[in-house]
Amino acid sequence: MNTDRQTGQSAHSNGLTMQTIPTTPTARLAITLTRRLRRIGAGMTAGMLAALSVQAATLDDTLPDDLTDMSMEALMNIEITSVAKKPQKQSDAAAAIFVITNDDLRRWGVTNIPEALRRVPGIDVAKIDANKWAITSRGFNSRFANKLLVLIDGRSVYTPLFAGVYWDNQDVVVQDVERIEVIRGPGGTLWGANAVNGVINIITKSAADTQGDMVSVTAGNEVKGIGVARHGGKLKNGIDYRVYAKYSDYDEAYSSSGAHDDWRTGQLGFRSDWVQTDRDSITFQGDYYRGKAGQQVSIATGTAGPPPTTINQVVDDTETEGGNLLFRWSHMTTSSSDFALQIYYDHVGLDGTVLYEDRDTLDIDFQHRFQWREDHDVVWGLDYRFTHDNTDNNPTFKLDPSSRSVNLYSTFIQDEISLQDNLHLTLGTKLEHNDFSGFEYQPGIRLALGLSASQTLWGSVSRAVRMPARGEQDVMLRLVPPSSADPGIPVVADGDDGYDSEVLTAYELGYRLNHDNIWSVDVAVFYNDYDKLRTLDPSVDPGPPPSVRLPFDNNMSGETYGLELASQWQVRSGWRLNASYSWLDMRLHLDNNSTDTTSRSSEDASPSSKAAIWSALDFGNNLQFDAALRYVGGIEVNGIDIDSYVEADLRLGWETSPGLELSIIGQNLLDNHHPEFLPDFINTQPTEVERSIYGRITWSF
Amino acid sequence: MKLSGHNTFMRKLIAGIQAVRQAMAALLVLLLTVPVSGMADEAQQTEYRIKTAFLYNFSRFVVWPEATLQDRSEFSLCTLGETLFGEQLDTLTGKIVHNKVIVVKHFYRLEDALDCHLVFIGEHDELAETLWTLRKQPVLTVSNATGFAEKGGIIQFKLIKNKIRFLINTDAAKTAGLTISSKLLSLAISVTGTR
Repeated sequence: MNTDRQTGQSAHSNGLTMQTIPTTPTARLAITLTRRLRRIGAGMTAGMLAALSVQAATLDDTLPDDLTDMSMEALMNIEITSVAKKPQKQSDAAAAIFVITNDDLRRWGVTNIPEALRRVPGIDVAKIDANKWAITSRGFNSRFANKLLVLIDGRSVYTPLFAGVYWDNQDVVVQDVERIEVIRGPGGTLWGANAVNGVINIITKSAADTQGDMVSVTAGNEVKGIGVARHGGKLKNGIDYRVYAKYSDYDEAYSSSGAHDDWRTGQLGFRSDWVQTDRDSITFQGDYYRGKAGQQVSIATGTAGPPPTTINQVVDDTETEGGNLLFRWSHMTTSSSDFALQIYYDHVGLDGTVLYEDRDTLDIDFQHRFQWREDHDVVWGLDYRFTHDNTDNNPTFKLDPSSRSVNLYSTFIQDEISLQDNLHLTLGTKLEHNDFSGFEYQPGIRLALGLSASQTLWGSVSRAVRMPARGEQDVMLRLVPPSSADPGIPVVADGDDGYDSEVLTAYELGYRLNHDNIWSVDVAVFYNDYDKLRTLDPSVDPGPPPSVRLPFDNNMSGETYGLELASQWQVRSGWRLNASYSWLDMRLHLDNNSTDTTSRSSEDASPSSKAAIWSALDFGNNLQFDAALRYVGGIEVNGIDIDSYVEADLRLGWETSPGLELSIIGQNLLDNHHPEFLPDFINTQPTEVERSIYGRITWSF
Repeated sequence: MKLSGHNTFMRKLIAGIQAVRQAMAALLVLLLTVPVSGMADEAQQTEYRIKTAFLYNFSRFVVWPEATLQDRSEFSLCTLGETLFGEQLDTLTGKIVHNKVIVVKHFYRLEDALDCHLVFIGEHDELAETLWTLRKQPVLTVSNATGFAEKGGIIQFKLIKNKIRFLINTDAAKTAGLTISSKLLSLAISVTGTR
């Protein structure tokens, strides 16, 4: 799997009159980024400052008339198209992309990554309990949702154990996040095996942009306390650095029988950036975290046959510990050629009642971009990833072998061809080899057409592969049998060595319009054709002792249809309205020989529609009022209905003096508590999201 | 390579490519009618619009000796030699910095520019000589010229990966009697000289 790179171009809002929405120049930029980030690397971020998030525009026509109103930080982030280089064209963004800026994160009152994703069209975010989330792109939601690639500064953070993400372990200092790019649809050509339905790319600021000190304290009823301290400085030799510490403590959610899902996590980290010349930039960064997350889990114990299995409910803390180190070197060889080398090491440790994982990963990634003839922009790369795990077998959860090393080799090539100034064709493919399913190829073709200076039409056809997770081949997971079943007979989900990759062919079409930065619309429609989706076909093992086996297999196909819309209206200077809407229809079909009774139910686990509308209003220079309404349609998880809900979020922010900001934030204000999702595979007790009110003080000095 | 599903995929891909080809043919007509503007000129204009905004900000974040501000009724922002600002720079006329109204002037002879607060030095044959003459004058010198800051210029623009950044020579500023705010220094990609 290839990792993405951080890019430097910033695409953000300066909170004044010029707010471009993620859909147009920003998106253009962002996708250029995502393409170009592969080329350029992080050093370029040297330009943005923590205090402001800055919306840059690529094209002249998107800049405000009077640039002297913009901060220098903003000015430094405007990318100009140099004469020597191939011009960036508006039609670059042949993908569905949504960018969350640093300013958005602040104004939405975000305390962690999942909260940031709630308003993004096409992304489902649902809480299972206070520390567990089900997050997916374009359907198939579950705690173990496996078709989404999540990257933090170019480091892949999904676990190969089940191809999903431990969201509670992915912490960042929200104030130091430059932006979050959410790309729906397959990104397999560039990113590889897990980027089936989407890529979430979390990009932190360059150390050059977080100079100075910052202290932030957040406290309330549900967010019991979050403390952040960060120091940024510059060494004599010109290296910018920052160090930070963050501690978060969250209260338990609601359950009539007691939730026991409070959790806390602490993290330390650093980042250093060195931009010595305009040719080289080097980034070195790392994080270390420890956490404890409460849960109440039902497990089936006892041997099969008489005496009967007992179902025990255990209250327990999952302990987590992990860290990473990442090095990235970007070098520009000529004005039309550059390469980047990235190496990272990542450790994940997790010890719970059921799940146990101790994993080390080393990833080496090289990319080279060059211009070929006038109109070809070629980027190719090589990636090698080694991951080794140790697990601790228990009666409920066992991996065979208990320790395994897995290698992943991949290479990709992509050519972006400028057929006309406003017509771009992108062809590419990725070829990779993994130890689970062997060789996989993931080609894609994209076409973008600039209809006018303000309109782009794009379309794509691509193939993406979700390679098997370690668990799907090696696990023995003792499930809690449904209440109707004989508790005396164990039900076991069985990994299967023959379990193969899930395959997607995706057809996408999109249109975006940006009218003078006053209003903009971004629409994407897609048709996804899946094959070899995961099934669990029950079979009875007569024993002795008898048991029900559920081996992982690939006996399902399906289609999903969807529409996603994001829109922005700059009503007047200092007042912006946004709306997002998504619609999804999933149709899954079991193969004739399949006896699976559960997998098709993911048809109903994503809402058929969800919507959000939000307003960002400034009173004068130092008072901000933000309001949002969110609607999420009803779902059904494993046969249990969860009602649709509407929630409201509010924020009042006051910058009392330069660098000092006070805010009060309310989330999920319309209900005392409401359920959002239910667990899967592991019977943790679901809890309900409660009304949350908290205050925040951030002091930068 | 896994081959199951391969054929269907290839068929669909080929169908997709064919559809795209047809669409492209149809679009060709449209394309001929869409005017293609000079991207290079636009880029250059953008570059100089941004540089104009930077010059304005430099004026705000550099402190001149009291005398040079008090004695003069206006803040002189000048260019020396040929530049690519066009009329951009003139948009700063009338703005206020350090309680003075900005007046934009264009000169070709160094002697005329000695009373300027800020001089952007364009294409100019005698750069070293110019910098030597201005070195003890309270004039903020700015240029695109390569090596400008090393040669004794105070602020040098530098294009880095399509973005405009700048270098500062603090020794040169000190010699000129100018104080550069820490904000400017923190944004510079490199600062030469002692702070």
